Amino acid sequence: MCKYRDCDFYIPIDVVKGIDHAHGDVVVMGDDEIDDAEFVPAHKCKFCSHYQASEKNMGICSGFETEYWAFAENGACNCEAFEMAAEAIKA
Amino acid sequence: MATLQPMKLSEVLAERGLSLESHANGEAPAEITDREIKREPTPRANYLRDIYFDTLSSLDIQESYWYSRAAMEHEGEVPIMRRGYALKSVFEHLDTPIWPHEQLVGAKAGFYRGSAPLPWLTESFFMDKDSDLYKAALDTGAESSAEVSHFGAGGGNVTKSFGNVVSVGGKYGVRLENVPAMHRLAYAWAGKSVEDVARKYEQMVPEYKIKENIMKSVVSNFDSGFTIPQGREVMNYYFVLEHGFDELIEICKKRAGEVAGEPGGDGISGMDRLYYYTSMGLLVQGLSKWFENYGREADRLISITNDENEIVELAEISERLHRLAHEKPKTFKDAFQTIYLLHLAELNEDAMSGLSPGRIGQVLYPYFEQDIENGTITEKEVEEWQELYRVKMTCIDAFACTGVVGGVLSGNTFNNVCIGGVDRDGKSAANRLEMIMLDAGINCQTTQPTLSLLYDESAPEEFIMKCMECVKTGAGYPAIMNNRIAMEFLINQYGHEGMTVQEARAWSVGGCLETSPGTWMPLHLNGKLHWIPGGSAQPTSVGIHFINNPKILELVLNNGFDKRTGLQVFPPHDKSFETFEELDGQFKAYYQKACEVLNKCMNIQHDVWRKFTPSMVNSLLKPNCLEKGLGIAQKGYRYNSTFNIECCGTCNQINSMAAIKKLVYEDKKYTLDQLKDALDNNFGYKTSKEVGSESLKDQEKRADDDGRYDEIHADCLRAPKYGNDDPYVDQMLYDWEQWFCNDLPATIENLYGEPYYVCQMSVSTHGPEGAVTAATADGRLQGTTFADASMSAYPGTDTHGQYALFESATGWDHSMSQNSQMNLKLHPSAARGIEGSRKLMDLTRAYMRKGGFHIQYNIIDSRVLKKAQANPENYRTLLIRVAGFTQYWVEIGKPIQDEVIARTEYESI
Repeated sequence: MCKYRDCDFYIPIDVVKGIDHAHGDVVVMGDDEIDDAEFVPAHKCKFCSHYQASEKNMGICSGFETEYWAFAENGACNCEAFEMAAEAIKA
Repeated sequence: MATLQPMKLSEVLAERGLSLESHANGEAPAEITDREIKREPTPRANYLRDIYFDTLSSLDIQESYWYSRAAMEHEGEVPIMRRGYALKSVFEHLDTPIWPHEQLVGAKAGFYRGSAPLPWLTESFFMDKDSDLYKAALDTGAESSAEVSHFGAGGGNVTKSFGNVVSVGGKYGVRLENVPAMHRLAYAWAGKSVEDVARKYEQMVPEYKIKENIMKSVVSNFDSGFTIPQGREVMNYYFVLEHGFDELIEICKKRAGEVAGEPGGDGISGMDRLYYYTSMGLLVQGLSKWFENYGREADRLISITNDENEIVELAEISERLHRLAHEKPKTFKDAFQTIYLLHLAELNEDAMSGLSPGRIGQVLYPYFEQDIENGTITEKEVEEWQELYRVKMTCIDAFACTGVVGGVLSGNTFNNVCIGGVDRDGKSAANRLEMIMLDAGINCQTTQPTLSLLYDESAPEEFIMKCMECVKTGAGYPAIMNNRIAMEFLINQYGHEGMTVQEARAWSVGGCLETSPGTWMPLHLNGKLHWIPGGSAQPTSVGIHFINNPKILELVLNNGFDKRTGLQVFPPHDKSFETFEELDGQFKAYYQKACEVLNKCMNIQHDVWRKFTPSMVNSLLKPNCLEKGLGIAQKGYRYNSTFNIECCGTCNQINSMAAIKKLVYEDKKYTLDQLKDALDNNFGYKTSKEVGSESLKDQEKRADDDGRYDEIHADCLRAPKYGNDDPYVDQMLYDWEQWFCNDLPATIENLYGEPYYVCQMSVSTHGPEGAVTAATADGRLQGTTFADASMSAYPGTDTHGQYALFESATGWDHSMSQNSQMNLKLHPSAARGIEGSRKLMDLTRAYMRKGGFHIQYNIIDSRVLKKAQANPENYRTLLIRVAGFTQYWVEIGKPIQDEVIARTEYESI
């Protein structure tokens, strides 16, 4: 099962909850599973084709001229280098 | 038959006819009385405020990441260029969330109540606690005040870790999966942050050891240069309102070309102009993209919602933000959206508290007038936007160390909006929009923005009465500041930098009550010229932070030695004090030494800050930076004499001095050694640490106490007390103010080569600073909270009514100081009805006319506060005025809660 917090229509409120903008519901982490069929991956580094995981929740970003470390949960909706990875779309 | 030994301080005081919950001017009604004025916000504002009430203070490390990445990529660049690239990257990449039903959009970070660590400024306090760097920071005393600082356990504070959420600094929550990245960012700046670099050079000050001991013993509350180096100042939104981003980018580009390679007659800073304009160009590009990204987010949300109303509203947001990313604002909503995002932009460049929007009712008035005249907006819409603004501003959090955010700020961020005052020509500046802002403050009670009335005799009666109506809601705002006194202060302090009477009229309050210079800017709208006020000075309340006055007296009595920490803070004086004057002289000598040492160290901290991470957003917006091509580091701001000496505990200091003078030197009832013995033994009471509380009412007698200190304690309590129109003690205050305001600041110089002045307000420091201070000669017990503010009386000691308190407070010239602070607690029945409002207005006028600078009211039945303390879950929305700020009751630490309960409650006016 996928998580709402990884979903494109999840808008975080704080570190434990957010709003499902598509339906208007408040979603609390730990209770935020979403059917795979409904899941649309959010723009996060971990779903980017330029992100290579290296350790837990951390990885390498190769989307810019200079490679740099990155972290999986980083929001990337305004990152000019973001490209949705094929496996994220499939998920 | 032996009587039982009273255990609680409250019981002992009751035996002596004293109370911790004092009442004056009559008795409270038998039944608990609620506040009289209660109104509701619009459904939209209410919905968004309700989200806030259920939101945790959350850390987002996105800014930290993008800043660090860009800064590392531009290592070796000219520092201000490197900062320009870093901030550009931040604004280009930050998430731009829009929550349902918002019209005014924007957030500091990716959460509703989010903030970000800024490790280039300071990183030690959010490192893992086992790291050597964290331990090294502890050794410097930088975190000493954190040990005695408290957050309220309720509301949105994440005081403890839970589940996958880690508590940082006792207030903020960060997701467990982001902790490794946060630590990596902290380590990336280790040895390179302002904190670390400044520390290296601070240690070259010969008296550095004294500074370190001052911090460890909490004689001063916190370091200035790397905790909250900006703030306590007033924004100036003019350039973006007048030009828009595209034009500003062109101005920067053109000016960079004009000054490249040209010193322009200034051999020191002239060449800096090229880097200034180029880096500002980068910043404006980033800001423009940030606005654009909000427009893009609105577009994205339109694509994932089916709600027709929401689509219409999002389309409006989209159109506005896409346009404002390039053009100057045309309408009221445009201008309001612009100033709100600019405010956040400034907050995102530094750890900050007390960044005040200033007189925005006068800044926005031309747009309001235009839109009302042409029928494109109604007053109801304007009122709702003001309510939405209140909610958005309340969501602002500042991420700084516990000692600052908990011990000083009580979690508040002090975004002060001022109303009233006078215009450029000296006439009342109060306007219709400000009346609406007051209504919004009544309808939608929130902590931010707090409101301050710049009281001037020219203000219309209707306007002052509306202010009183707002005060009676119990929200604690508007506070009332004296326009005349502020202008006199400004002309005195900034005259040598060109301050005139006309310019002084543009002042506003930065932070809770820091008088801050402004200027008038020519805004053109629809072919009309409007002179709008805006900030024009450097941050205030930077420099020497919250000297603990009673603690210095304690050190005088103990030969410079602090028994709590076992440190010799000041060199021993080895005096036995044959006369009171000798003791008073030593007090001033230690005070002077503390200020000299702290000034040197803070100058170094701020110098490193201005070299590495100077203000960019404010250096763009504040006159005369853009005109001169110089930022804050090169004195580009119009006014630079803003550093100050803050103090805490004045009332306890003066009352203690009065008790010592009377009991030891005049009546000779006790020797100084006998008094010191009583203080050392806390008058027979347990220490606050033994009791486990720093609150007055929890203090208990020691089990083995034989009553030997009862008489001296009673005499100390009965010694003359400030606040009763008693010349014996009041004159001691006035003599102190002369030395403190006039003699002391003249002896030290800030890093800009400008003179200091003093700032007299407590914020929340009277909690932690009281916690580290031994029993005092006024009868206060060890570890307990000091009197709040600077002109308030100690709880329960002002027994002769408000006017006697006013007499005591106004026997000195308040314009010698940046501010003074008077908090008054009134029972709701004292100001009931129109008649009550008039009495409140008369009371306020009386204080202003006598020359008081500031007064603020808590309209509350103390019994409500006691119920709220016992059942916080039922009082999430209860607001209370502390000292210069309004805060949710549940987010305040218990010592300050107890102090507010204990304040004298006036039952009538």
